Formats: sequence, C-alpha cells, structure tokens
Amino acid sequence: MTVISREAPPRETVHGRLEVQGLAKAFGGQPVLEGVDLSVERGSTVALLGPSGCGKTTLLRTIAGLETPDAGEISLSGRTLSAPGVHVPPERRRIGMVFQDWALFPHLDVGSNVAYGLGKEERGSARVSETLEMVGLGGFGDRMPNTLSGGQQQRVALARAIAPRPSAILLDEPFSNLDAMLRSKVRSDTHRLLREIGMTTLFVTHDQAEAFVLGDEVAVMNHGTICQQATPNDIYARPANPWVAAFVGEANLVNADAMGGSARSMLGMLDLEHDTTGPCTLLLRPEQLTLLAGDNGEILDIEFYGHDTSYRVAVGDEEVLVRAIAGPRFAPGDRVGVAYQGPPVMAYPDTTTRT
Amino acid sequence: MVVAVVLFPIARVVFDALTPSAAVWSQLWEGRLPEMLVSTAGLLLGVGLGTLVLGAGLAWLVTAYEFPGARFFSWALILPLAMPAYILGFVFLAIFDFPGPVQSTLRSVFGAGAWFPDVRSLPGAALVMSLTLFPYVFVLTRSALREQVPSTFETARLLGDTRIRAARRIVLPLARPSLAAGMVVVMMETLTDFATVQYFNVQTVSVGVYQVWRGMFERDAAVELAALVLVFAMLVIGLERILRGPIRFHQRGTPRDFERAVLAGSRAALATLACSGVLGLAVLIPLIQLVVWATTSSGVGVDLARAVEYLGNSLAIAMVAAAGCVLVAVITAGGGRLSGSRVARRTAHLVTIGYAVPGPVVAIGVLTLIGATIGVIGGSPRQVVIVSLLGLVYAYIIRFLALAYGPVDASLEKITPNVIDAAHTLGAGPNRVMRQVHLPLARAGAAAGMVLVAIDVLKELPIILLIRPFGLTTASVWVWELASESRWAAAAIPALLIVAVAMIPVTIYVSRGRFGIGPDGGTSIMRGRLPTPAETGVSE
Repeated sequence: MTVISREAPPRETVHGRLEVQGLAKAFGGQPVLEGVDLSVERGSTVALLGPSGCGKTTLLRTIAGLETPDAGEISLSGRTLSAPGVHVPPERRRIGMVFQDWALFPHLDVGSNVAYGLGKEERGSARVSETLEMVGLGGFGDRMPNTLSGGQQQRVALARAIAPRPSAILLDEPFSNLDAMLRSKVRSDTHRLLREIGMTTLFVTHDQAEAFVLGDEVAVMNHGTICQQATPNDIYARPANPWVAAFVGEANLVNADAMGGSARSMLGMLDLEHDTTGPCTLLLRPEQLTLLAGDNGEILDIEFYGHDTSYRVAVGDEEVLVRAIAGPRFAPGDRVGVAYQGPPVMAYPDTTTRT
Repeated sequence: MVVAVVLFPIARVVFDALTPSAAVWSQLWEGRLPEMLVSTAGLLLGVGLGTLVLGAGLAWLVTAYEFPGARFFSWALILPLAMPAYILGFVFLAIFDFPGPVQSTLRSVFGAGAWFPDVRSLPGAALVMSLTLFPYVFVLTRSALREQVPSTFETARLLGDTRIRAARRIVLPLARPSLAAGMVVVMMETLTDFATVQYFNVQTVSVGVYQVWRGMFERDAAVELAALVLVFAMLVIGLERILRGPIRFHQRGTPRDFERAVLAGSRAALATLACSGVLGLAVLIPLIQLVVWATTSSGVGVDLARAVEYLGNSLAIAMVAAAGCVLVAVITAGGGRLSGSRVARRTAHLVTIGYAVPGPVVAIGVLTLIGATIGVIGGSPRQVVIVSLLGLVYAYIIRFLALAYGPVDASLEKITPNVIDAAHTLGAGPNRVMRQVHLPLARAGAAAGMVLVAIDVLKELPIILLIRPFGLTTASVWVWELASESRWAAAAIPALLIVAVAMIPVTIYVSRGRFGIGPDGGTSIMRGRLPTPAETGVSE
C-alpha cells in the first residue's frame, strides 16, 4: 500500500465534493459494503439512512480512513483519499467526524478538546473561543467534559470537529444519545450552523424524519449498497423500489396489473408515473387515499392521533391504511368507499414471483 | 475486634517509627544505613521504570498492532508472574555470572579480558525483578486499554494525530491511573523482597531488616529498620497519588477493541522479537535451564526424602494459612455486611491493608509479639516452636488476607439486603444468618480465596525466612538456601515445583482472560493486589 506524500494538505478551507465509487469492504468474509456509490455536493448535507446493520457506520468509518476498503475509490475536493494502492491515513484526510458517543477527551477541558486538531500557531489564537461561540458554548472553555449536559457535550464534539476547518464532516448518529425533547433543538441548531458555514456534511441516521428534515439529499442504504440517493421529496414520492418506499414512510403496496400508462387494481384503474406492463406493485401512500360513501371497503379499526386519524380498511382481499385529517367519522364494521386522490402512481413490475 | 487483632502488629511498627530511638539510629547511621537508603531508592526506581517500560510498552504493542504472534503474546506475557524473582534470580546468576556459560564463551572467544557488565549489581537485580514483576503493569494496562472507548483515539487521528502521537496524547493519559496502580503493586513487591537482592549483593533496607534480625538479633534495630521500610511504602503510595491524577476518567460509549494496525516486514519482526525476547528471558530460558539441571544432575545433593518433607511443610503451612485467611475474611466481610453500617464495612475493609504492607514489616511486627509472648509464658523449646508457628500463620493471615477477602466479599456482594431481611423476618438471628445464608453463598469465593492464598504462601519467602522456628524448612526456603550457596542444580527440582504451583492461578487468569469467562475478563484475580485508597490507610 502506498502512502500518499507526507506533505500536508492545503491549510485553507476547501469545502469540497465528496465522491465514493464502488466501495467494497468485507469483515472476515462477510461483505458489509458491496459497491457503494455516493456523492455529497460541495456545501450540501446528505443524510445516510438505513436500518441498523446495513453498513452505514462502516461506510462512514471507511470514508474517514479508519477502515481500509477492499475495493473502490474515495475522493474529496478532487483529491484521492482511497483507491487501489492508495490509502491516505485518517490524520491527513482533513475530514472531521462526530461519533455517536461524541468521544470527548475526558482528561482535557473543553477548550483543549476544541484546540486538539489545531496547529500550534492557531491554538493560541481566537479560533477556539470563536468556535465555542458558534456552537453556543462561549465561556465554557475551562469546564471538564463530564460536568456538561448531554446536549453541551454534543456541541463540544461538533466544535472540535469543525475547529480545524475540515473539507467535510461526518456525523455518526450524532443525536441518538439525546433525549427526545433536546434532540429536535440540538438537531436544528446543528443543521443551521453547518449550513451557515457551508460545510460538506454526511451524516448517518436510522430515523427517516431526521433524514428528511436535515438532508438536502437522502441516501437510503440497505445490505451494503445505496438503494437510492435523491432529495427527500423524491425519495418519498418516487422511491426506487418497494423496500425504500416502505422504509421511508407508511406505504400501501398493492397488487395490480399494468397496461402501459395505467393499471387495474382493487381501487379501479389508476394512472401510472411510468409506463409498464404486466403484474406489478403499486405504491399508495395512506394520505393519498380517501374514504367516501360507498361499499368497496370495510373499516377494520381506527386509530385517532389528534392531528389525524388512521383507518385500517379491507378492500377486496387486501388491507390498506388510510389517513384522514378529520376526526374519526366511522366505526369498525362500517362499509365505506376507498378512492385514490393523487398524482400518477409509482408502479414496480414484479420481476420475481410474488407470494 | 478481629480487625484490631489483624492490624495490631503493623500498628506496632508504625508506633516504633513514630518513637525513634536516637541511640539505635545513630548506630545504624554509622553502619550501612546510607548505602541501604541509596540502594533501596535506586532499586525502586530501576524496577519501577523497568516494569513501566516493559509492561506498558508491551501492552500497547499487543493491543494496537497486528504482527505474528500478537494474540499469543497478549496472554503469554502474563506467564512471568509464575516465576518468583528468587528463582529467576539464581538462574540468571548461573547463566550470566563470571563462571557461567555466557561469560565463559565470551572469554574463550575474545580472550580473558572480555568485558561484561557486573551481573551481581543493582542493575542486575532491577532487571531480574522487572522481568518477573512487569506482568502486573502489563495486565493493568491491558485492561485499561480495553476499557477505553476507541472513538476517542480515532477522533484524535481524524484531528491530525499519527498513531504514535495519538497514543501519547490520548491513550497514555487515560491509562495513567492504571499505570500508577500497577507501579505501586510492583514497588511494594520490590520492597518486600530481600532474598533476590541478596544474590546480587544489593543492600536494601529490607535486607538490613533480615540481616540485623537473623544475624545480630538486635531487636530494636530491626524494628527501626522495618519502620523505615514502611516509610518507603508510604512514599510509594504518596508518589502514586501524585502520578495518578484522578482515579478514573468518565468515558461515554461502549468500549471496543482497538483497530489493530498491521505491522509489516522488519517492524513486524521487531515486534515479535521484542515480545519473544522478554518471554524467553523471563520464562523460557530459566525453565529450560531448570529442567536441564533437574534431569541431568538429579543426584547432586538432592535428597528425595528431604524434598518430600519440605514440600509437605510448605503444603501444611499453606493450607493452614489459607483456611485462616478465609475464616477471617468471612467473619470480617460478612460481619461488615451484617451490621449494615458504612463505618463497619469500611473498618472491615481495613483488614486488607496487610497486602500493601511490605512482608518484612509484617514479619517484624509479629516477631516482636512472639518475643513478648515467650517472655510471658517462659518458653520451653517446644513452646517456642509452637508460638513461632502460630506467629507464622498469623503473619500470613495479615499479609494475604486481601487475597481471600476480595473473592469472599465479591460473592457476598450477590446477597441483596432483602435476602438477609427475609431471613430476619423469618426469625433468624445474626448467627443463623451467617451460618445458613452467608457461608453457603460465600463458598465459591472462599474456595477461590483459599487457592490464591495457598499458592502465594507456598512461594512466599521473606516472611517465612524471618519467622520460621529453627529447623523448619519449606520448599521456598530450601530453594533459597541452596541457591545462596550457588548449588544451582540442586535447587532446580524444588524450584520447578514452586513454578508449577505458581502457574495454577496464572493459567486460571489467562484462560479467563482469553475465553472471556467472567464479566471482568479475569481482572478479579488482580483485584486483591491493588490497594484502594481505603486500604492503603492514607486518608483522603
């Protein structure tokens, strides 16, 4: 393995585009990453969303240089970090990382934690206090990490990661250690800060709401590959496959028979987003279904959430979830009409035999 | 009450230290005292640094790097614990001293003037003791490293540190409390020893205690010297307080093993060489030498009947001492818990202080008591022997109680207050609770404690040398006597026996650590050896 020259990377901040191509990594014969392609545009935020065990943390660690990939390339601002025969060690990648447990240095005070990644000449400068101000912790420099609350510790970790002005920053489930009340506040503060300084950001989460709120784009990952990378709206409205559709929100996946631009389903003929023919699966979001007078369905049960109401309705031999903004109007056992009201429907041809 | 009895002899020496006799001191000062002070300090320093470099260095090497044998060495480097210094010491002398094979070969190659460092010297003693004691530091550093959250190390890397630099700035400071604790154990063991250092003609204060007591029977002078040893012990503990920093650092997150960096080529070879070199010097070469002696010259001066007799003595004393330790441990630990008060528990915990007190101090404290007892009852030779034997067991209980107290207290820990309350509400008094609840539940801990104490007593040397009644010889005493007369080969068989016995707890430890039995990976065996602040008696 060649190690890139000892020459330090440019000191001035170059927020750059992060590009990952065909990345593969196996642990003891068990593939964890299988050809991952991902890109984060300069100054934008990508949320890496996936169920636990899908390889997202390994991907993050590989980008950081803490793991060596078996194949594939990683580059940042046009500089190759990993490629066959090339491995830039983590300390020369200029990538900041915030760990899930924040990993503050418990023997150093807050100021020394933040100053850790700075060069000698910067350490004495105002950079430390400025960065602490940025995360709202001005004046906390002399405190020890264990005297801070969880939210404050998280912000110290963030300040420490951005203080050396890295080219990109990686966050590994940075909010999962915070309680629900604090989480949304810390989350939006972090988001605002990273946007203000125009940081190229990749963060890992298993919470789709978090991914949609924070990500300019969302990359959905499963079984070691990226299933889809797109804007949150695209991911929700036009998921790449039924699995993504169900993972990023509630989804009615119903059987249908496509004939070009439309398909026959138990709700009748529906227009399709893309032409397809043959047996297929349609994605009908619960909020795109409405209940009317009629008798093609029967209410099975009702859950009232205050801001909306969910109905589980049997239609033909399938069950669908219907969400209505109004309060409950029906009772279980009532006969109702179910209709689709929305844009042309996403249809996924059944390539494998459906069970 | 029991606590007071256990602590009395130590208190006696402390009292003496506080009331120095000017006459004795001036006499000592004109004798070899200055030399003793210098060599004690020098030896402590040498062994402290030696074990620190070997223990911490090798621990980091096997934890953070991948090289041929890394995993093997990560447990094998604990094995030197089974090699008592007084055994390794004489094997070293036999091999490296002037008449030994190494220097003979050098002379035959380079002529009679071939230079070789003086083996019988303070550095020689420090080297041998470092080689046998470094596993304490090794084990503690290893477990400290395993408790560390690697993401702190990884963060340091991402912030621009190389592996070495991150190790120095992050890993080392976080491991410092454990390093300091390991050094204390090592230095206490160093202070206890006066057998090994005598091979090397090093005059420490502990040697002085022994020589003054055995040679001149100057009771007062020996007591004063023992008090001096205690002062050194206090200094060591004080030093630890300074070096240690906080007791432990609060870290979030789940510990996980470090990503091992793969060493390649010459660096990998160097790492393997360093580990196998240390292991070879500390265990393999001495073992081979002992086996060679035992098999090729078994006839030389080895009297099998005597060997059996001495071994029997060793076993008998070990058993009695172990049983005594466990009994006292159950009474104090159980009693401390029964009363339910914090003060009682802390007081009970005090009985383990003996492990932090160097052996000669305990021995002299007990010896003065033996002298007083004999003075009162008048003492026929037979009575003297009996009193001495009782004193010996007494001294062992003081010194090794911590080894039994730890496991016993740990198994009593499992008894929740509700269990005891339930017994009380069912009408059982304290005695019945002790008999029917505590004792059965403490059985596993008691067994572990007995084994640990018995083994340590078996290989123990300083206390038995000082206290033993005339004519009583054990395996360890015999090894030392033969070795002192340079009859290496004859000492080989008993030495091998002792090493074999000493291997028992080490292999238990190793197998626990390796196979992950027990939540602490086997560190409980070490626990008895680590003085907590309460035990060391230095007030907070």
